[in-house]
Amino acid sequence: MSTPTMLARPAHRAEATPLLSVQGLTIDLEAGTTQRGLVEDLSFDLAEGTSLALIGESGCGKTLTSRAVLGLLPRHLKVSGGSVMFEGRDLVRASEQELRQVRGASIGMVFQEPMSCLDPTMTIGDQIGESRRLHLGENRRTARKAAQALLDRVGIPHADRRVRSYPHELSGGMQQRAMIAAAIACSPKLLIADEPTTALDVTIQAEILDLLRELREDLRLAVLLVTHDLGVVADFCDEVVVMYAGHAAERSTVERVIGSPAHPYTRALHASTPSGASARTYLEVIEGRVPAAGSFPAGCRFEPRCPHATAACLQPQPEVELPGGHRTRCGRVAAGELTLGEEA
Amino acid sequence: MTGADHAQALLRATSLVKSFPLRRSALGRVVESVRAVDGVDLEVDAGTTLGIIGESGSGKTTVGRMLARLAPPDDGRIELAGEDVTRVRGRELKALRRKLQVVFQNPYGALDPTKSVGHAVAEPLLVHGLAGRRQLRSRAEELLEKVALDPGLVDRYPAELSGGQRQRVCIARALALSPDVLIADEPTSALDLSTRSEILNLLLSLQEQTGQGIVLISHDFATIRHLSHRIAVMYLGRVVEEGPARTIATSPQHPYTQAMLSAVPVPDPKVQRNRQRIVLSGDLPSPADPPRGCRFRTRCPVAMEACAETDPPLLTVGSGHRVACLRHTEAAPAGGSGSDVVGVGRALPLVDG
Repeated sequence: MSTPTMLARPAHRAEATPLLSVQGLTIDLEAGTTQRGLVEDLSFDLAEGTSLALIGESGCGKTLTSRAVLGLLPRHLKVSGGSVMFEGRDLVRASEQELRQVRGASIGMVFQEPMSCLDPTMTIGDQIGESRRLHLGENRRTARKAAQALLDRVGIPHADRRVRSYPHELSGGMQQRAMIAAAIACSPKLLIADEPTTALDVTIQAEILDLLRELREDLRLAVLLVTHDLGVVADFCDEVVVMYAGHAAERSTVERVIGSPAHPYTRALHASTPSGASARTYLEVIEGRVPAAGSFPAGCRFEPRCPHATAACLQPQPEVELPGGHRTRCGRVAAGELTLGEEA
Repeated sequence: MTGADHAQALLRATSLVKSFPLRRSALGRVVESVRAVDGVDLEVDAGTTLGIIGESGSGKTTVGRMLARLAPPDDGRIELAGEDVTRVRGRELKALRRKLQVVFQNPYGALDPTKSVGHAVAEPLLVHGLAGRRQLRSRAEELLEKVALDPGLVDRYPAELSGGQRQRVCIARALALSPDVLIADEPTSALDLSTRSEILNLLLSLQEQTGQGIVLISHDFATIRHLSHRIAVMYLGRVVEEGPARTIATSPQHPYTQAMLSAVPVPDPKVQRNRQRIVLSGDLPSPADPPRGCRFRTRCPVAMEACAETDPPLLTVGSGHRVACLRHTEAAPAGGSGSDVVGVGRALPLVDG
C-alpha cells in the first residue's frame, strides 16, 4: 500500500522494517550508579505514515526517550543499552556528525513552547529556511522562497508577509504552525513532537492536530508524540506506550490500551480523570505518588501504589506479550489473574 | 436582573468592566487600552460552584482577580451577601478578606520558600488576630488535617513538598479564616494527572462540609464540568453563555461554546474519531480592538449580517440558561451536540487539554 522512496534511502517495506525501531533502550546517569534505568528496557516500533504516543506523567521518562532518539540527552545522562534504529542506522552509536545530518533533515522536531524554541531575533522565514540552507545547501533567497511555501502549507495566512515577521508578532497557534513548518522544511520521514499542543487553547489544539494529521497522510510522515493527554492520544495516534517511572507499563494500539487496559496504572489513570458522568462525585485516587528518579522500586515500579499488588510484584516484571500483540509489564494481568477491562 | 430566582446570591457581580493600559502618552495619559473584561454579570450561591471557562484572552482570570478584590474594577459592582464591597478599603477590606479567599494556579510560586508550611498555613490567623503565636502550631496542624495532609509537615518547607502537597497547603491557608467564598484560579492546571483527582476530591469534600461558594476558573472543561453547578463561558471579555453545568455540557447553545466543546478530545478513539468538530476560522481577535457587533462573529460559523450591527445581550433561553447570540432570537443554530461531550455512553475520562 505504501511506495517508499527508493532514492538514496535503504529500501524497506513499512510492514517489514519499521521506520523507527527502539529496542531495549536504557538511559542511565553518566556518573552515579545510584539507580539504573531512568528509562529501562524500552521498546517500540513506528512505521511510516503512522503515529505513536508516549504517554505518562511528569518524570516518567517520555521526554528523555524522545531526546535519546535524537541524541540530545542532557550531558549527565547516557544511553547505556539498547538501540534506536532509524533508516537502517543505529542512532545510539552514530557520531555527533552523523546525528547532525539526521536532526532537522530526516527527523524533524516540535516542542511544547514555541516561543522559547523560536529565535526572537530571526525572522520566521529565516528560521524555517535555516535547515534548508544547512542540509540542502540552498542559498538565502531560495530558502526564503521555500519557507514561504512551507508557511502556506501549514496554513499561515499571508505567507508572503509572514516570512518577514518575527516570532513575537504571531499568536501562539501561529507560532506552533511556524515551528511545524521549520520541522518539515527538509521533508523528514519522522516528526518528534513533544507536547506540541499543551500550551495551546483547545480550539487551537484541534487545528494543530488536524494539520499534523494532514501532514502524516500527505507526506507519509511518522509522528512520535509525547503527551500526557489521553484525549489527544485517542484523537491522533495509532499506537501508545504508557510510561510509568521509566518503564513501558503497557503498549499496544490505542483501541486496546484505552478500551481494555492491561496494566493497573493505565486503568487507574482512567478512573482518576473526571468525566461528565462522574460530575460532582469522588474520583478514584492513586495512592502515594510517582517515585522520584533514583528511588524506583526494584520490582514492578507501580507496585507501591497498585491496589492489586501481591508479593510476586516485588520481583522485577519483564514485558510479556499478550494475544494480539498487546504487551504489558503487569505479571498478574499476563498470568490471567487480573482483568482490567471495562468496569462501571 | 437575570430573571433567575436568586433573591440574594452569596456573591454577585454586576456589569464588571476592567481595562488595562496598552500605551501612554509622554505625559502618562492612557492613549490605548484593552478592555479585558467588558460588562460581566455573575452570581454564586452558598454551597455551589460557579465554573468560569474560557480560552486565553477571554478575561476569566481578570474576573477572578476583581471578585477577589485583588484588582479594582473600572466599573460595576460586587456584592457579598448583599453588601456592596466594590470599593471597600482599609479595615473593611481586611474584614472582607476573612470572607473571601483565593487559591492560585501555581503552588510553586504561591508559597514563600523561606517560611515553614505551618507558618504559611496559619499566617492568616495571625494577621487577623484570630490566634496567638502560641496556638499557631496546633491550629496549623488542624488545618493540615483538614486538607488530608500529615500534621507532621508543619515544620517542613515548601521545597520539600510535591506539587499536590503544596496545592493542599495553599488550600489549607485559604481555609484558615473559614471564608464564605473561595476563588480558585486554575487550581489543578500545574498538577499531574494522578494528583489532580486528589485536589478535585478535596475541593468537593470541603464544600460539602463547609457550604462554601466556590468560583472555579479554568480553561479545562473536564475540571469545570466535574466541580461546577453552573458554568459561565467567556469569550473576549464577555460571558457568552451561562447556565446549569449539565445543560451547558449537553446542549450548549452559543456557537462558541459548541465549537469549544467539540474541540475537547474525548479519550475514547471509537467515539473521538466519529465526532464532528466545529471548525473556527481565524485567530482570536485582539482584545484591544474587538469586532463591532458580536465579538465572536469573525470566527463564527453561523454569523449573519446582523451580527456585525448588533451586540447581542445575554437572553434567557431556558430555565436559568442564558445565551448572547442573535441566532437565538431568530432560529436555533446548527450543530447542537445533544449528548454530554464528556460522558458519551460509558464513563469517559477526559484529561487536560
